[in-house]
Amino acid sequence: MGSGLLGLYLRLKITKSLWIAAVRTALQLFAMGFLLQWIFQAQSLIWVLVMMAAMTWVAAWTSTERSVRPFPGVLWNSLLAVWLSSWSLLIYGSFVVFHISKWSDPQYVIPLLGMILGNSLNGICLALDRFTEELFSKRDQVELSLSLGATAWEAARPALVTAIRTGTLPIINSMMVAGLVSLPGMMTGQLIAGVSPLEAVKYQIVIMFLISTSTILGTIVVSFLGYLKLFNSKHQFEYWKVGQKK
Amino acid sequence: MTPILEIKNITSELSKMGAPILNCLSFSLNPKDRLVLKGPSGSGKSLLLRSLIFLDPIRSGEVWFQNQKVKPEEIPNYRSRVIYLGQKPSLLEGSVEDNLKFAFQLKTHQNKKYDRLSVLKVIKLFNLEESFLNQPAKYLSGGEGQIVALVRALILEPQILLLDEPTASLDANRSEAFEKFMFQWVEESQDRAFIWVTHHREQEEKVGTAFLSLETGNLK
Repeated sequence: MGSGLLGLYLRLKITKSLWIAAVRTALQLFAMGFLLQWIFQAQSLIWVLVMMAAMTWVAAWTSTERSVRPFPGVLWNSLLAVWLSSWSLLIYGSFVVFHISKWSDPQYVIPLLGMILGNSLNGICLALDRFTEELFSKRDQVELSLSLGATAWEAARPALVTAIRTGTLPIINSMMVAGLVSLPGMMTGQLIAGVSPLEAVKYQIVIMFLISTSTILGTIVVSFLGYLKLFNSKHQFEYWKVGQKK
Repeated sequence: MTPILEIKNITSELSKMGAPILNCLSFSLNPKDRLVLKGPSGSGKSLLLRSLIFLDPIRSGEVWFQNQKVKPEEIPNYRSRVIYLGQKPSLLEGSVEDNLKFAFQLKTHQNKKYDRLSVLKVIKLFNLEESFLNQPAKYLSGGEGQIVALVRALILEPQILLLDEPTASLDANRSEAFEKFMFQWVEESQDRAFIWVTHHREQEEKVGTAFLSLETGNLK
């Protein structure tokens, strides 16, 4: 509200989207609250899985929706990357690290998945965008490599490396400053709820490792799938498949 | 004489106003051929050269190199034997010499070695000194860039060069040196040839021993 008024005062022209965002946050979180309450009570494996699938789908869709240069099949690529990277780490985290007794314990699984998805989604989105943009804007160099005898893999590798680096940069940065600059959201929540700081830290460290591993995995998978989509067995860069800049 | 390169019924995948830009083209290139490819702008000359080395997609048709159909897995090696030089030379970051050495990192060329002396011999023909090799590639003029691109291709010992208006940004002297050099290069060995795209009638007659004219996707 305060920032809305300030925005109005400064004529920032962000007032409208700020209002929409504020209303959306409140509505979406309320809806999620009701849904969670219901699922927690239902104690049904199927509904937990449906919920998790829906969250994964939304994450994948969000990561491609604003894609600068879309190409056919991009949504499936990112769905596979999001799904693989988040669910594998979720399973590892719940059963190996936290020893959750059963799947239908939505109290752990759903928030954990949410935290993992929220982060890997960012990495995947950045990597995907960077990969296509890098290939497209440096098409002459890609084609130069190819025309001097490079294999598709050799020609695509610089773009792949850049994409993976870009996708993993934010999570690496936030791990670098974790605790120094910001207290991560989950830890803050636990502290406010009265958990001892050392206990909260232990959980947070595990979460950070799960999140970062999933982000790195998702970033690599999505870039690699993009490579498979945009290069073919004739060692061609299929630039004609990459869409126009939105 | 058996041709080194045969193009059989190539039709481009890319189309302009519903019609494929190249429509069922066939021709062949014999050893020592100096083939001039001409035609109005937009007639698909560059597309043809790029399609020959599979940079642009073809819907149907075949490319035969040394009496064998080029198979997908052989394309990197084929592209190192038939090298395409684009209209605008694309140069990589770093010095001129970095650009020349670049291809030697590739798997296809792992058995070849970069030979500085032969590079110096070639650039001397264009009145360029040894210090030219240390210049940053991004400050080169268009013409100098074109020479770098030519040398970069030559040191990989190709059999066929596909030259897309190679002298467009060279001055008269260097343009002439370029032409002379290419004639000599073709004669030096029994199995070399080039295709040269040009717009200048004068150059056409000087350069070519065979001619192809491309008009709206068809050979005339």
